[in-house]
Amino acid sequence: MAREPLKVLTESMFYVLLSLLRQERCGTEIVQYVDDATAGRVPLGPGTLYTILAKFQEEGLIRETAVEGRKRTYAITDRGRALFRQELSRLRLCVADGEREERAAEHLLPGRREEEPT
Amino acid sequence: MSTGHPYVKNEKFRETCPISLYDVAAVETWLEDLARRGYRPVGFTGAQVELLPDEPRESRFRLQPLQRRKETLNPERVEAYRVMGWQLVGQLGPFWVWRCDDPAAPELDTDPVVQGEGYRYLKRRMARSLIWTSLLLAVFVGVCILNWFIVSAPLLNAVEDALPGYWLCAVPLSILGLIQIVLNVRNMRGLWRTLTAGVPLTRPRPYRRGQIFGGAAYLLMCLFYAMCFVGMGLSYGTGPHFTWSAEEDGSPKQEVRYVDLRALDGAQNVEYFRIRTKCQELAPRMYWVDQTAPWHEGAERRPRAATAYYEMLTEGLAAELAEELLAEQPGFLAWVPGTAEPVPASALDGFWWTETRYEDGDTIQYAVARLGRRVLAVGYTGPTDLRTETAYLASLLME
Repeated sequence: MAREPLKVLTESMFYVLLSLLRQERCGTEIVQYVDDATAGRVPLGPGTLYTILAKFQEEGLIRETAVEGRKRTYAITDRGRALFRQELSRLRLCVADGEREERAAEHLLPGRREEEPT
Repeated sequence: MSTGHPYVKNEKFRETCPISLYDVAAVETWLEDLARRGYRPVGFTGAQVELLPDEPRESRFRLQPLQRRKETLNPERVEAYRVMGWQLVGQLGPFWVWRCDDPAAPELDTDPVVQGEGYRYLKRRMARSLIWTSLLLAVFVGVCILNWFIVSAPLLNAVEDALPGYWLCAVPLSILGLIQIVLNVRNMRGLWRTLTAGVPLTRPRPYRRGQIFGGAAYLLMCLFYAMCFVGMGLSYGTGPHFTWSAEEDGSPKQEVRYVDLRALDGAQNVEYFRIRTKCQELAPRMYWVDQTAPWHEGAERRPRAATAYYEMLTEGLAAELAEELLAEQPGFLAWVPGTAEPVPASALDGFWWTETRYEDGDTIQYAVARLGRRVLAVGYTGPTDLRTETAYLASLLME
């Protein structure tokens, strides 16, 4: 895979990083965690998971910590945490922008109604 | 269990993937259709799928691109896929093929953008492959063009040496090959753009057209290689593409056109020792006849007429062939020396003649005549001057 650094994380990527924030996990544990954390809202297929893991390893966002038989465990790196925080800030800004606009729209809405002919 | 397949007796068999592997969704649909019809893909060899008769079932097949040239799947990944309902079938070209029989299992790729990320290596590989293929193609075309100029009689060689059907296969095969490369690149670019834009692949994807295209290309390729194989080691005038065209008494069949010593010299008791016919796309009808007559009084050599007759596909090809026949005698007439010069002949579109005189006084004449898309080359030893026989030669070349 060519080295093209990630700038924006997709939802699946975000949740994979999120799953490793507190503890190391193997592939199936990550899937289980994301499923629980999002109540099934973010499906994580095996193809998606392992493409993300490969990409993250290549980018140095996660690292393999243990191989026990068929089980490989992954941990987030400092670089991964930094990217996670950066993404979280971006999302907060998105949410803040969205909420502000929504409030403004709600504020305008009655006025608009008044202007409309009955 | 009866599967209805004509080649299956509950044994493993192989079927070549009829679609371009780079049309990913179509290949997946094709594999799913096989499973639905009761053939379970169990492995791959090259572009061939190994199938086992099975209960017809609804399975999902998904292709995942390799991440590097020689990728080995780690056991953890295979196990994790298995836990999530996906089993590895094998490697089909640059793809891993996974099968899922559980309708409740999650989709293999749930994030199109991430899936697109997985195609990065394949995309680069295709770009490299396209560059190399283009370079090879350019070199091949260059060599062909160079060869056309280096070889003194390329058209003559092409019509005399190539097996019937060779050009009919070679030209469409080259065109199909080019189209296939372009389609592959287009498929890959389309796939990449769709996925990176966050749009999942559309399934099922019809593959009938791809199947017909692939089948035609495969058939042409087999025919072409068979012809190349048969054509190897065939020397001039031998092989299955030359037909012996004589009657039981040894004389040429009625349709064969040749300079006849009986008509030219009034000779009798003529002997024929080479009568051959060949059909080919560029020259739908060709005849070669070699004929001798008994000794003339006072002559050192027996009268002899060796005729090569070509009915070309077009008049342009006939004109080109006539030029080549002037520059170089065909193998059949290689014993005839000299370079012919044009001689006016109203009954013909072109007439060229030359003569070589031997020390003993005998002469060999060599003439090339063209009328429309028919060309005739003759090497002649005998008392008649061919320049006075243009009407006779024209009669041989008429429709």
